[in-house]
Amino acid sequence: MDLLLEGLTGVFQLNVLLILLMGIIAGITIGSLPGLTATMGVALILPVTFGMEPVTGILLLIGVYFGAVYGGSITAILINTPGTPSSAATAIDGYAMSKKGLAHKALTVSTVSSAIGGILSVIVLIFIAPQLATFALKFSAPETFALAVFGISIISSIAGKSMVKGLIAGFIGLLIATIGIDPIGGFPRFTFDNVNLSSGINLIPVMIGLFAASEAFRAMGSIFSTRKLTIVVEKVKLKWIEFKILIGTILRSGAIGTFIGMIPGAGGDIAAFVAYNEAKRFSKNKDGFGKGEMKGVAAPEAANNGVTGGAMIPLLTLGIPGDAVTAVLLGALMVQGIQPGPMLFENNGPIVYTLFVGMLVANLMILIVGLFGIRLFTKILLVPTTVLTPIILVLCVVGAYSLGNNYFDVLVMLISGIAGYFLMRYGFPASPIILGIILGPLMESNFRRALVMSQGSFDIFITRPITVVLLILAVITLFSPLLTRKVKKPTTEGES
Amino acid sequence: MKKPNYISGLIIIIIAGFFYSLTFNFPKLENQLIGAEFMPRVYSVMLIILGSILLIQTFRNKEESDEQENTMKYSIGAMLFVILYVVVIPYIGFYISTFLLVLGLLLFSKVKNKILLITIPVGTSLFIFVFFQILLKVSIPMGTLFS
Repeated sequence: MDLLLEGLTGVFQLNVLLILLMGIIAGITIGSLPGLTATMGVALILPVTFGMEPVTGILLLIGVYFGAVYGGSITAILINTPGTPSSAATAIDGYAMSKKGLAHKALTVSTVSSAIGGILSVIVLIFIAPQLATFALKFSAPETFALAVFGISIISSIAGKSMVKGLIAGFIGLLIATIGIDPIGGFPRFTFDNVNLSSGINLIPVMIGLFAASEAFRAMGSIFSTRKLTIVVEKVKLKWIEFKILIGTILRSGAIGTFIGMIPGAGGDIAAFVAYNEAKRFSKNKDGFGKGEMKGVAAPEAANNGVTGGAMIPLLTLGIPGDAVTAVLLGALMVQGIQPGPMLFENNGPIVYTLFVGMLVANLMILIVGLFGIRLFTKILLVPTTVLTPIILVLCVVGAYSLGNNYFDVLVMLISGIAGYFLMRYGFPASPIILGIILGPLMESNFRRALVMSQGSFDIFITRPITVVLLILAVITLFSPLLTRKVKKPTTEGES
Repeated sequence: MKKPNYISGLIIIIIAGFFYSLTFNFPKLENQLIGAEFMPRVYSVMLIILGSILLIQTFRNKEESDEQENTMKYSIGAMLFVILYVVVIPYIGFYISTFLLVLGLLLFSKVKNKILLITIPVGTSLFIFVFFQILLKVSIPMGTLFS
C-alpha cells in the first residue's frame, strides 16, 4: 500500500502528467492512422525517451501504447479500416453503426469500453504481478532457462500464415543474439573484428528498422491507392440507460482481454475476436450483431485495452514479452537500466508502482481525451500517407542515431528496415526475430549456467518440477497452433 | 510466392551454413561440456533444416495464390533515397540532407501541392532541431563540409 501511495506521488507531478498526456495523444493519433500500428508508434517514440528519467520515459511509451490501441478503433468505426489489427473486430459493428449515422455514439461506446477495460486490467495487474514476481524469485538457472524456452515457444502463435517462416524468423533472431561476446566464456562470436559488433547487435535500432522503417517502405508502395474521404460525425449521444446495458459486456470483455493478455503470444486481435464472440453468445439479440450492435463495439474495445494490462504481467514479472509492443517496451526498460523480471519488484519497487498508477491515469486520460476530442481525432484521417512516410523515415534515422550518437546504429536500423520490408513482403513475420534477440541471451546463459550447476548432467532439466512444467508448457504452446490450425483457418496475424 | 520462397529458403541455408562454419574457429575449452559454439550451432542447424522444409513445402505445393507485385518499385525507390540520405549525412550534415530527403520523397510520391512541398521538408528539419537537438540534446551531425 505504501508503494502505491509512493506511486501516486510519482505520477501526480505536472511534468509527468503532461508527458503522459502527450503520449496518449500521440498514441491515439498514430493508432488512428491506418498502417501505423501501436508497435510502430512505440518504436518511433522510443528514442525520445533516452534522455528522460526512467519513469517519465516509460510512461510516455505506455501512453503511446495504450493510446494507439484505443486509437485503432477510430478508423475501424469511421472508414471500416482498423487502424491496428486489434481493432479488426470493432470494425464489424462499429462501421455498421456509422453507416446508420451513429458514428459518434459508436466512438463514445468505444472510448468508454476501452477505458474501463484498460482500468480493469491494470487493477488485475496490480494484484497479480507482485505475487507472480515473489514466486518467480525462487527461479534459478534451470527455471529461467525453461522460462526463456517458453517465451520463445510463443513464436508459433505469432507466426502468422506460415509456421515454418515464423520459426525461421525466430531462429534468425536467436542467431543474431549470439553475435558479440559469449555470455559465459567471454569469447567474441561472429564479430568479424568489428568493435561495434563485440557488444552485440543493439536491439533498439533493429526494432526501429523492423517495425517502423519497413512499414514506411511498405506504405510508399501503397500511396497510390489512397481514397478520398468525407467523414461526417453527427452528435448522437450515448444514453445512461444504454450504458447500463453495456456495462456487463464491458466488464466481461475486459476480463477476457486481461486474461488473454497474460498469455504470451496471444495479442489484442485474438482477445478482441474472442470477446466479440462471447458477447454475441451471451446476447439475446444475436441477429443484431454485424448490423450495428453496440455490444459488438464495446466487447472488442474493452478486450483489446484489457490486453494492455494483462500483457504487462509476464513482461514485468518474468521479463517475457508477449508480443511485439511489449518487446519494444522491454527494450525501452532495459535502455533505462531497468531489467524486467522477478528482481524488478525487489530492486525497483517504487518505479514499478509509479508505472502502475501511471497506467491507471493513462486509461482515465483516454476516457477524457476520447470523450472531448473525438471530433478532432477524426480529422487525422485526412492526413495523407504521402506526407507521413518521409517524416517517419527521418525519425527512424534520427532515433537510431540518438541512441548513442553512433552511426553504426543507423546502419543497423537501415539494414533491419530493408530486410524487414522483404521479410514481411514474403510472409516472414518480424516479431519472432525480436523475441529471439531478446530471449536468446537469457536462454543460452541460463542453459549453460544450469549445466555448470549440474556438472554437465542434463538431468537438471527433468528433475526440477517448475522447470519440467515450464518446458511442457513450452512444448504445448509450440504445437498448439498446429492443432487448432487443423480445425479452422487462422483469421488473425500476430502483429499488433 | 513460389520463386521468393525458393530464394529465401536458399539464402537462409547459405547464411546458416556460413555461421555454422565460423563456429569451428571458436576456442574449445577442455573442462567445458558446452562451449561458446554450442548454441550458434544448434540455431544454424535448425535454420538449415527449416530452410530445407520451406523448399520442400514450396516444391510440393503446386498452386499457391500469387501476391500482387505491382507496388514494389516505389518501396525500393524509397529505400534508395534513404540509403543515399544516410551516406551523405556525414558530408553535408543532417539538416540539409533531411530537407532534400523529405522533398525528394514527396516529389517521388507525386505530391504537387507547392505549400506541402515547402512546409513539410522545412517543418521536419525544424522539428528535429527543436526536439532532438535542443530538448533532447542529441548531437546532430552538421557535416564535414561545414565544420
